[in-house]
Order: sequence, then structure tokens, then C-alpha cells
Amino acid sequence: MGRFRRLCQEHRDRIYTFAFYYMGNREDAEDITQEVLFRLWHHGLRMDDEGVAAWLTRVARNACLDALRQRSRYRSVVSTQDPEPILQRTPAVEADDVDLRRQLEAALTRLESPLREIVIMREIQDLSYREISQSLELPLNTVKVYLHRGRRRLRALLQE
Amino acid sequence: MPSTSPCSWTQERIEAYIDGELTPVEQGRLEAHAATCAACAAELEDARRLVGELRDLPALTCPDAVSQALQDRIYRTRQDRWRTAARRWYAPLAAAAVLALIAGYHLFDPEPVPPAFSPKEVAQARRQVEWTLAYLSDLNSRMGTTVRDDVIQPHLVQPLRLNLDAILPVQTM
Repeated sequence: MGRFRRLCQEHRDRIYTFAFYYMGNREDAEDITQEVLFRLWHHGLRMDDEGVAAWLTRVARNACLDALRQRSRYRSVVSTQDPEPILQRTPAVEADDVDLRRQLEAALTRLESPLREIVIMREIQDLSYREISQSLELPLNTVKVYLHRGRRRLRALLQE
Repeated sequence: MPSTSPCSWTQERIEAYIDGELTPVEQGRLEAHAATCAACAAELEDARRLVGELRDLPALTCPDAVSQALQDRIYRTRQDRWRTAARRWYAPLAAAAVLALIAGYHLFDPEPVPPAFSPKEVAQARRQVEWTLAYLSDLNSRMGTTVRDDVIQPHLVQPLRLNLDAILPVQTM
């Protein structure tokens, strides 16, 4: 349990951050983080520490996609609800900033895959192109092209 | 010469410019155009602001409830695995236990095995049989009975001798 606990402590915030911005709400982010760490316990402990980060990101991304698929199936038979507020309102955060961030986070959840994960990983999580390339198993130049495309698409979404 | 307009050329390269991926020549060309084109300058400013806002989004801390839920799930999974394994192995283990009990009964409480004969004992038995047969033959002749030697020899003496011969080599080796 020692190694597993250490890996959980090292990676859980990163997984949670990724899932939160990908899914746009805390509840899904918690479920996905738990699912990813459970899969680490179940399957992933055989790999070395260097490979774990990329593997976890890949699993997190797939778990997000699975959750979105399930949600779309669920929403096809159940009435849709308004998305919950993403950012918690705190006195320290200006109302305009809150609004801006909400818009940005909402726009992120409307980006297509893999643009969404690449923008999150590069701009919010500050991963290198090489790390993104390994995690998503995409060529490095493709990652760059998708990143630029994703930012352009985000700008367009924010202007709608 | 490229056929695209300066605005298209610039807008296609704004993201790469922000990431510092243009050559010095391309960078100079883009900056020169943005200095004279309000639309492209605004586009460049929007792109810069977006990247700044994205990079300002905070990294989050995973709630402790996730770790607790994970521990509970792992615990339940281990319990389920144990139960499944117990169910899977229960019947074979029970059968093996019964077999072990039977085998143990026979191993530790066996049927009594008669002790092996010594060659001396067999030789003595042979002498007793031969003496008995000789005595019977003598008694037969003295009593004047009609049992003949050619009946006694093949039907009584020979089978007994064969049985003894079968035992003797084993015992004498």
C-alpha cells in the first residue's frame, strides 16, 4: 500500500484539476479522480514511476470521455438541468473575474476532444508538449497544431 | 510569393507567435503588420488575453472525501475478491479435505500387514507339508485304502509345492 499511497498523493490533485476543467463540475471530477486512482490500484502498479504520470493522464482522459458518453445517454432520456456553477464564489474574487472564469470554464467544456484536453494540459496544468504527446499518444507537432486550434476555437466560443 | 493576404497570414500565425515558435523573420513580419492593422492587433490582443486567463486558472486540491471513498472502494473490492475466491475454491477444497481425511485414515491407521516370511520359516513349512504328505501316504498304505499316489501327487502335492515355490524366490531375494 506504501507505493500506491505515495502515487495517490503525488498525482491526485493533478488528476482532479484535469477532470474538473474537462467536465466542468466538482462532482464529476471527484468521481473521475476516484475511478482513475482505483484503476491505478487495480492495474497500474506494475509499471514504473516514470510511466505512471502519462498513464494516469490517459486514463483520466478516457474516464472523462466515458462519463460524457454516459451523460449524453442519460440526458437523452432525462430532462436536462442547468449546469452547476463551476467556480465557488469567494469574497476575494471580484464578480467580474468570477464571471469571466465561468465563461472560460464553460467554453472549455464545449471544446471538442482532443482540443479540450490539450488546452487544459498545456495552458492550465503547464505540461510540456512532450508530456502531452506521451499521454495522448499523439505526435508532438500534432499536439502543437491542436493546441493552437483549440485556443482559436475557445476565442470563437467566448465571442458567441 | 504567398498568395494569402497579410491579415490571413498573420491570423494563421498568432498562436505560434504567442508561443514563440516563429522564426525571427516571421515574427518581424507579424509585428509589422499588427502595428498597421487594427483588426489583427485586436486579434493578437484577444489571443494573448485568453492565454493569460487560461494560465491564471488555478490548480485545484482534490478533496479528502475522494481518498476516503477510494479506500472504502478498495476495501470492498478486496472483500468481494476474497468471497469470490472462497466460492470458487470451496467445492474443490472441500473435496480435497475429504480425500485428505480418507487418505490420512489409511495412512495413519492402516490394515495390519502380516510380517514377511523368512526363508527359514518357509523351508520349515515345506518340510512340515512334505512330512504330512509322507505320513498320509504311509497311513494310506498301512490302512489298505485305495487312494493312489498318482492321485495324491498331481492333485495335492504338486499344487502345494507350486505355491511354495512361488513364495520362496520372493522371500529369499
